[in-house]
Amino acid sequence: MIGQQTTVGRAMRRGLRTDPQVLVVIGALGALLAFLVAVPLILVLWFSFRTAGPGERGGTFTVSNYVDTFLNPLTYELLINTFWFSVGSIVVGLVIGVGFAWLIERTNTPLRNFGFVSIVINSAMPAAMFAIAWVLVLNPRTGLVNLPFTAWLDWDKGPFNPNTMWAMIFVEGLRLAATIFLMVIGLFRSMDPSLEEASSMSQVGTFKTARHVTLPIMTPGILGVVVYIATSTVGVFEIPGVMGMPADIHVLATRIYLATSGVPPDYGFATSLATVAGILGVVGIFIYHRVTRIQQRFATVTGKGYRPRRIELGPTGRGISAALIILFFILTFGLPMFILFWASLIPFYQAPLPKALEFVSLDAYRFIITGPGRHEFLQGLRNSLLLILVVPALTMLLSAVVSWFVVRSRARGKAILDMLAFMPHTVPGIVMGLAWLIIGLFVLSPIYGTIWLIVIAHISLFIAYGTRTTNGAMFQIHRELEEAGAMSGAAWFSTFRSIIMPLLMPSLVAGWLWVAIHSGRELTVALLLQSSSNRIISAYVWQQFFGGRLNLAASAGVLLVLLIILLVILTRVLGQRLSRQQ
Amino acid sequence: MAVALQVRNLYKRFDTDQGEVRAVEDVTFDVEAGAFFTLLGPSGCGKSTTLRCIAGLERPDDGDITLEDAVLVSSSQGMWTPPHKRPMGMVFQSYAIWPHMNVFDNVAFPLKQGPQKFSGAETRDRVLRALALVHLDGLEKRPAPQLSGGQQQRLALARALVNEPKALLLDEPLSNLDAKLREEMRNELKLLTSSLGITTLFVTHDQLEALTLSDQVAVMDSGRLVQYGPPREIYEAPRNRFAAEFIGSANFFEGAVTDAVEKGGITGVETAHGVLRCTAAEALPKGARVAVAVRPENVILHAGAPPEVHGVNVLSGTVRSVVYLGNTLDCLVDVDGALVKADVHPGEEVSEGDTVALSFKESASRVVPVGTVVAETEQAG
Repeated sequence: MIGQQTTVGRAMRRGLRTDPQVLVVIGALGALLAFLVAVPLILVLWFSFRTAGPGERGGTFTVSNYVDTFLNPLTYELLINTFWFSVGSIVVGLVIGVGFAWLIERTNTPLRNFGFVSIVINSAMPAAMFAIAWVLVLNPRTGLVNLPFTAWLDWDKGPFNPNTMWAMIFVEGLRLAATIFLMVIGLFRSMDPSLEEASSMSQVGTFKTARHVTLPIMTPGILGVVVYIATSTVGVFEIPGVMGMPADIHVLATRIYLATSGVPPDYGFATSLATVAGILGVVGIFIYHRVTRIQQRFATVTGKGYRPRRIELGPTGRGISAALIILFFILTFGLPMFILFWASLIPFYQAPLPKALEFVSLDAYRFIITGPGRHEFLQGLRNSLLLILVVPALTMLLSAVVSWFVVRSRARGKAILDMLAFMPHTVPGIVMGLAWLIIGLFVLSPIYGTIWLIVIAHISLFIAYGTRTTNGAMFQIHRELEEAGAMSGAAWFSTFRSIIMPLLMPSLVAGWLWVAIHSGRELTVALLLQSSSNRIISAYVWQQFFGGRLNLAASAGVLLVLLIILLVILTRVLGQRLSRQQ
Repeated sequence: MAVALQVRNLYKRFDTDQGEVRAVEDVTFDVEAGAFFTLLGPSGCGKSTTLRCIAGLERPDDGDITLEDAVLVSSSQGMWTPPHKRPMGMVFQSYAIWPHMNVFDNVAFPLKQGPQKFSGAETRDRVLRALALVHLDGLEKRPAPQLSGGQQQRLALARALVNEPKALLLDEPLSNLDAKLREEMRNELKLLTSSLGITTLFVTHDQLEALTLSDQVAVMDSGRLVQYGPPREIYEAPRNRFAAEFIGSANFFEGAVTDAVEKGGITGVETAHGVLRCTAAEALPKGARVAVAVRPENVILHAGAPPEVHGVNVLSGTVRSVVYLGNTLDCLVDVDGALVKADVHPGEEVSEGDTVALSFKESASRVVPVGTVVAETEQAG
């Protein structure tokens, strides 16, 4: 029996190596991924050592870009700002995210489902809009939180100001809390509850168990989450862009953006800064992998999947935790959404007080949908819809094929494929944006300025996520299902199409929707690549906000959030239906 | 012997997506001090939930649990003791060895963090003694994840015993081991618990483990305790169809009781194959619908169907299949359309198509109620 199986396996392996279809596909995939991922990054590196920018003639090798950058005191201010912004927002996010994960997963708190909903719905709001809403809430004169001081105490200004590092840290921290929550709750769930029960059965109480068993076991996992999040905060653009840039508080991402959008653009400065950011990202992911390896060593065979006992809070505790969950919803969705909606209803922004009610109208919506502003807005909508339809489909198709090679085949070079597919994740979004800007100017000039450049850039951005999803799903599909296809005489491509793809479908759908949501709300790359004809809604919102047309920005933003909420609901419904089917 | 653990009218229900699941329904039993007591049943029968209620890891909806005069759970008094206040040790199915500690620290944990305080020297002494007990001496410094499955199992046992608990709870501890190791650990477990004289509660779905290890076996089905007693009694005198089928295998003949009978008495049962004489596990009225259960090894096959086979419980039929199992021949005999299984000595000359006679003693056939317990093992999932 066993002997027979190995022979079949070996035949399969030999078959795979020589199957011409496989060779052609793997070659094409390698070239495609290299183009999507490696070429842009190499170009960034290349231009950081050149005297002439992309699109310019001539130029020689130089290290002066780096010399200039590191002799410039601005750079150090930038790095220090980026450091504090990252550390501060991660601390805020950790406290809220881990605290919430513990409350919702491990205690009998009321409003558990509501807590989940508020975490999920938070992802429907693009970061830039979240920042715009908080700028309005924190505005020294008209901001809601400052109103008690300005309206009642008649001060000139309230104590809160959106254009400060503290405000940026707070707002980014709120955003990170949702991501951290989702990652940490996974850690809680993957921990074998009998590890804690064994402590209880050793006559050890709840808090000692938390300190000596739960926390040490979770530490590598939480550390992994921190490193993972830190990798992304190094290059985060939206919140510092909206809140810090107007007050000249800069981080790496905002400087890179300014350097490329200035006249003339300073590509030397931008590419050398981007290289620094890229290196920070790679180092972060390297540490992340080390940390998760340690965590895997901790992984144990889980028991029968008993739900761990929930800690029983007293009536006061339940009251406090319910209040915290409601407060979280208000801060991450309720208040920002209300303020944006309010801002979309009045022509010139005023605090939401009764005396402003007389100005309320739907004029802004009328203006952008049927009025003179419709060309710009509807063009943005069309472009956004195109992204939402095309980017996820292509990304998930490519991911499925790449995953097959990475997980299934024994072809040489599959490790390189996997590394290439994961690389965009290690690179901050702003660096990818810059890389695609360079490609657009330098290699793909025919499509520069069109929406297709953004489509390609988004695929390269989300391929890392896509392949993580499909890799996981591919591991679940038993190899023999596929071998049975081969033994029935089907060639590789027919097997892939008629066996693998249908079995992968649930994960493909889930990944599709994730990519759709993220592509639809993505701003950084779209902004760097924008021209008059390829603007998408998130870039439109940005442009209107900085152009001082707040009501237009807000109304377009509200519509974008509604569109994404629709996608989120679709994700939930489909996800539940698919998981019920299986 | 004194009763160490009392469980009275235990109930536990879970709300799941598929509605309410009655995991434990009115379970009552006593465990004598020092006894090895086994909860046996298919997966989802409620045996683990019962154990977890005793451990305090689940809070029962109703019922009383007492351990050596200490009331742990009493629904009438509204009492419930959290798990860390119960003097019990437990070995989990997954072993639950803490991966961030080495062997020594895993065993020392109950001593260091538990209610009693021990000096460093005494902790060390006790840990080493516990490790020696399970033959893990010399491995103190080893990181726990580097242990093999069998070693992790021993470590879990040492940790459960180091505090000298009043009861040892074992939740399917052998199910993750390979067959050879399982047999070895089974023998060791038996020796260890009997030499320590510790009251032990063992949960398993493996009838062989239950029969070989236990002083008492409790068979559970769909949350209910269907029978409990010494292994021999459970096997030889199953009280219902589920117990007879789950432990070993059995032939059933349904019919009606011909004469009212006392508990343990002999009566006839009018079946499709005539009146069968058998032993009643409890008093039955005349006419009661019952089934007669006969183990295949108690069915005597008379090859060549000599017409002179007389006496009680004689059936005749045609051999449908003979399967050679080495130590026995597994024969299926068609008796008027019903298939009867008989284990026959391999020396017997019997082949397919033979007409044979079957017989069994009245002491080897048991009356079990019919239709009460259907094997709804999936329901409690």
